[in-house]
Amino acid sequence: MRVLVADDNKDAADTLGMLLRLWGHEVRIAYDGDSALLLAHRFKPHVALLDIQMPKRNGGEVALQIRRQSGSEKTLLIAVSGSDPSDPRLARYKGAFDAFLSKPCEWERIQELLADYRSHTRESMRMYS
Amino acid sequence: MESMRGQGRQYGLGYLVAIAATAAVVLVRWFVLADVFGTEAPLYLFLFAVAASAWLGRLKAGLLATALGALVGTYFFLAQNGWVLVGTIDLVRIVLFLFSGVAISWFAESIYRSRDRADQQRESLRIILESIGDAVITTDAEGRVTLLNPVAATLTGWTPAEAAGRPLEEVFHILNEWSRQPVENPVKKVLSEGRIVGLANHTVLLARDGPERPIDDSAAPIRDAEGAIQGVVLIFRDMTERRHAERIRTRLAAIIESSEDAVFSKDLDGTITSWNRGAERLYGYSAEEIIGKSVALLYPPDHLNEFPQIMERLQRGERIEQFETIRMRKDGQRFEASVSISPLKDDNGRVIGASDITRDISEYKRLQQQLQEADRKKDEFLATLAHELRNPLAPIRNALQLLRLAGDDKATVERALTVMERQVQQMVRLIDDLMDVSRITRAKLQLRKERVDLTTVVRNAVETSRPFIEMAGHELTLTLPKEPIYVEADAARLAQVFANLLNNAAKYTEQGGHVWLTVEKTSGGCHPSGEAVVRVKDNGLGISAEHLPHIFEMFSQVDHSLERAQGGLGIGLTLAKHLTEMHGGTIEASSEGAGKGCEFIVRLPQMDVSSVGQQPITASSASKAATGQCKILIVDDDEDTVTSMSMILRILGHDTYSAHDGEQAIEEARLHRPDIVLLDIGLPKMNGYEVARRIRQEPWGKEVKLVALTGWGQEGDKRRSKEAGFDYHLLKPVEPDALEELLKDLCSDST
Repeated sequence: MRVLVADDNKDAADTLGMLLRLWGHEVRIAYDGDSALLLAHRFKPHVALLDIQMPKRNGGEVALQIRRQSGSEKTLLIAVSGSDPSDPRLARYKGAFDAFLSKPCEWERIQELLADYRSHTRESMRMYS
Repeated sequence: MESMRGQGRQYGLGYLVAIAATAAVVLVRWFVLADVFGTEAPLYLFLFAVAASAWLGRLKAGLLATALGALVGTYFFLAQNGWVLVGTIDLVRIVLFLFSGVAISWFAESIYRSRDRADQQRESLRIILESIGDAVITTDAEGRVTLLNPVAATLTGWTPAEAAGRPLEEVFHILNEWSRQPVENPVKKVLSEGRIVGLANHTVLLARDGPERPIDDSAAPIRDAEGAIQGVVLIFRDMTERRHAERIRTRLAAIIESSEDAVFSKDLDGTITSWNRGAERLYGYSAEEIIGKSVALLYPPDHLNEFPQIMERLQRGERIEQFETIRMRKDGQRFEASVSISPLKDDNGRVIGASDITRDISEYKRLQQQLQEADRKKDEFLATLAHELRNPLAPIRNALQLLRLAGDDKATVERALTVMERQVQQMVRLIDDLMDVSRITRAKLQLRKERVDLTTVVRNAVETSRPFIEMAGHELTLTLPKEPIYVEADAARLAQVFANLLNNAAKYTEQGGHVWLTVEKTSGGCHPSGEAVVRVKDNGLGISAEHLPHIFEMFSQVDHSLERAQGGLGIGLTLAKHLTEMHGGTIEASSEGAGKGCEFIVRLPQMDVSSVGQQPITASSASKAATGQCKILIVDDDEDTVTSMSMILRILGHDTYSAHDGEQAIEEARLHRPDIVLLDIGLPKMNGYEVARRIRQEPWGKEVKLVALTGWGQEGDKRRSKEAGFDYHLLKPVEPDALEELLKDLCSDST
């Protein structure tokens, strides 16, 4: 699968990318919101793991923009954030994501989400949102 | 009823007396005096019966006795044969007798009547004197007590019977309340001066039975019809209650007057009727200028609508308690007020006005807001802290997973470990900052101050921050004076100040910006030996005027958006400020606004050069004293290696410098004169062997310990490094323990 990873903590993005590659995915990495959106447009990822707090454009905005792109209906959007999920600043982005993971997220959880995605349509994944 | 019955009895008795007396006269005249009088004085003796009856039975009894006397006397003694009268002389006798009897009866009656009147007058006077609320004592012309009413008896402690006839001074014993000296008796004065006399104030009456009471009195002469003084009437009253009430009133007035709150009263149309000192202070109007004016003057125009509402509620008798609103001073300044208004009622319970208490709660409100603000900041800080701690944990967990999966893949393992080190270091730094802030706020941080060269401290700070500045691609312009500037400081802590400022500049400047650090001396300033001034300037995001005053506050972060480029806890500048102040210095921030960069200026007192003494402490020995360890230059083209190694060495207490290529390595070595150089062999621009050879050619390079770090461990490689001038040859990846061991030896050698 094509997976987009965006995180302004380069170590976090890089290591997650390495893990995903080891697992056989095709990975692109962005370190800020604008690059993430650009990559999403070009790379057409199946899955995007987006940090929320990022310079230039936050992960929530990136998710909203991705949702507006045609052909992105089936993209699995996962928020990966160090913020409290109940943070009111996140409320408006909740709908754009299929799942919300708190940092540091468990690798097994990501694997699980990706495996489910592979075998189901995105709609059935809604239970994670 | 009682007197009617009494009168009835008196009349009944009178009639009996009339009958009995008439009968007695008949008997006496008939049997005893018949020989004496013969036919003479047939009626005359009956006048005694009339007099007796009238005396005992008043008018009616007298008249009955007269009538009976006339009838019986005529029948028995005047007429000869039954009722036959002899001549006109007899008729004259009868008429004279009747006339005399009526006159005697009438005379007796009038005596009775005048006596009744006198009794009534005396009785009503007695009742008046007894029921009067004031004490009354009368005396005769010699000043002896003649009368004492019940109130006077109670106040003096004398009964009327005991007091009667005694000199007034004995019964009416008065003193001056304060001097305790007897006061001149008013009765004497009245008797001598013949006019009405009032008592002076503060007179107390000492009762016979002990208690003393403040009194108020006056005395007047009693004169007879001719105007001669017959005696004196003294009227006085107990003033205890009134004095008490007055005292309470005075005290209440004093309390209101001294109240910090504004207390005033108003009538029902809102006209101010009283105004205390607190009101003068709070509202700025004096009592003279505001009394009689409308209370509406105290309402700001946009709160005037409260006025009718308040008046309406007051008229219903409602209290308004601690109503928070805005009021206005004389100068138009508004303030936050807590207002309590209570209706004032007259004796009939009718609301006639209101008392109004205003308290200025601006300060309270400000504190409340401050508390709320602090609370909000604390919450934000906790959220930020969680975020900042989670952030490095994510790559660490990823790296752990990588280690698990990497197997024999050396490069991946190396990469994962580097990441973990870097991120752990990030967390350690975070926690160190937290601990420092905590120590500072609890005043537990202790500085080990000594004489140090500020330029050295600044260089150390630059080395600490260089990775951040370089990672962000900023250009750093360093301007240091050639002369050392001595300050009394804890070198490590002072370096932390400048490192924090540099990190801050690096953080809040867009990639590829410019950071300037300038150190200079000034002779002026607040300190006699001049000031050292360190400026850290950038062309970054700047600070808006709104945020500038709060920039040094704990947990203060200008940008709370999700697009915030940099993490951090918002404590770096707080630390810098506290540490600067602990060094007797000041720190200030200036910015021309958002997007226009900013400048931080630290001013520190310079040490008096003359006190530096004969053997100035050199920069290097000062810094070494501060750390007690070595200066080490780390040269590697892999940034992660440099960072992690520098981290470890700093934890061990060494000063580290770094370079990423061969040429830079020689530059840095020339600048910092390190004790040890850890040199990677495979370097860009100039390889490690060449760098080692060049350093050895320098005059300062003979004593430097050179350690080769390389992935090649063959015998030939070792020989080659030895030939180039290396002292040691370590294999990568370097075990921290082995490195520590080696450094322990090298450092004790070099010092």
